[in-house]
Amino acid sequence: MTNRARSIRVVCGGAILNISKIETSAGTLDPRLSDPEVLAELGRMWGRTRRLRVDDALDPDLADALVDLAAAHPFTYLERHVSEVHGLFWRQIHALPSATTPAPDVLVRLRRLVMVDLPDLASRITGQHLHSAAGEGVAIDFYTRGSYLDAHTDQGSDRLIAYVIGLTAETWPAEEGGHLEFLGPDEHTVLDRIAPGYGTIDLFAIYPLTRPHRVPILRKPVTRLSINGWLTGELKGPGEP
Amino acid sequence: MTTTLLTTALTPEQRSALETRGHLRLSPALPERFAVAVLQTLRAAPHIATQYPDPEHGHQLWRYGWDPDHSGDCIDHPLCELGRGLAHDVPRLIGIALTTLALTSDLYRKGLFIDPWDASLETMPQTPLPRTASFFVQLHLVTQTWPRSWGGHLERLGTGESFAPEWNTLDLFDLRQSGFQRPLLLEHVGQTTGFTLTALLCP
Repeated sequence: MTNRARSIRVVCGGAILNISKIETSAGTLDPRLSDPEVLAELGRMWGRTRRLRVDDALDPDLADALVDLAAAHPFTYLERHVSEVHGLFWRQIHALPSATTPAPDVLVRLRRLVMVDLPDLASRITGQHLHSAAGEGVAIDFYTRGSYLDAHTDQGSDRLIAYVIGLTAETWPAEEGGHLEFLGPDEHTVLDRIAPGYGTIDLFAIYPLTRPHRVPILRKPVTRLSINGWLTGELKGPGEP
Repeated sequence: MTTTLLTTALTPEQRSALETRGHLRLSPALPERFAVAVLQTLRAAPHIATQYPDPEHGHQLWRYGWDPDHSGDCIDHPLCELGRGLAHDVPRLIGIALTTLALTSDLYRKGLFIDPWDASLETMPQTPLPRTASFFVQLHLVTQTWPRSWGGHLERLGTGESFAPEWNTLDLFDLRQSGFQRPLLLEHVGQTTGFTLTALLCP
């Protein structure tokens, strides 16, 4: 990481914060992901299935910092019963600092990750011009025993691609639930399954090719952490260039 | 006080079953029309999600509790009528003198689980000191049944016994014999149609 950030320590309400200015150049992605050959290979993999996992995608210390961020804040229980999509998990939302507001370094880097670096990476891989759909906040989701998200498609507005930033250090077999599953049209047949990862970025197409997906109920008392979001762009019909 | 339960006295066989096996199921438990009235009332009751994500002693449940002995004139309210009825009927049925009765309703929802617990050591709400219960009663008002493999059925520890909830049935348990658990409920079994009411009896 090339860090030109000006970092200062301040005491705020009894706590010591490391404050960085937004002009930090601290990277958020692994440096190899700026290699054109690596990007070309990822692009070829994307083109085959329109689903892709990038292992070791985050800058090595960023995943740790995001987990620390999650551990330092309470999660809110979230019960979702919207449009027949049922889900049960925990969530914490972090307000993203504005471009001119001093903020803790991890939030500055999180903002850069979801607003700049990740959309840019996905654009290079997929050949689409993508923007972050994140508003002023980013959610970190926590699944543990009894958590689940039923089948849904993520379609909405001008979303083209969904992403999952993996922050899960533990591993467990798929039979215990908690893995991301892509389903056939019957919403039961499992076509593909992705285990939670650490420092990973998963991309999958929402439009025009989409698959229902779900997180089956988690049977083990493990900690599954992730940041989930969407990338938007110009909607084109399947036949349009 | 009018009688609530259809069964007003145990047969010698039933009494023997309760003493030897620590469990007795009565079915049907309530007059049908009253059972339906209680179910309809429960559908509108605010069952609050409660979670404790402990690896060994955790739970996730949706619970509504009420005090049937509260002051105020609501004798026609089905839940209060039920609570007062159970407080009247159950002690006579099993031959104990009741001092405390706590009532709760649990909603069956995907994700429900309760790790092994010893119900006899549960703390009674709204009392200054912990009380111990020796019996508990579960009244099931579910309009759907499901296989044990889906989870959610009450299980008695160390015996392999499982007690599937069925419409308008009442289970009597002698807590002095064992602890219980509810394995994780893996499927949707009716968001508004499955309730089990639990009454802890403290003689």
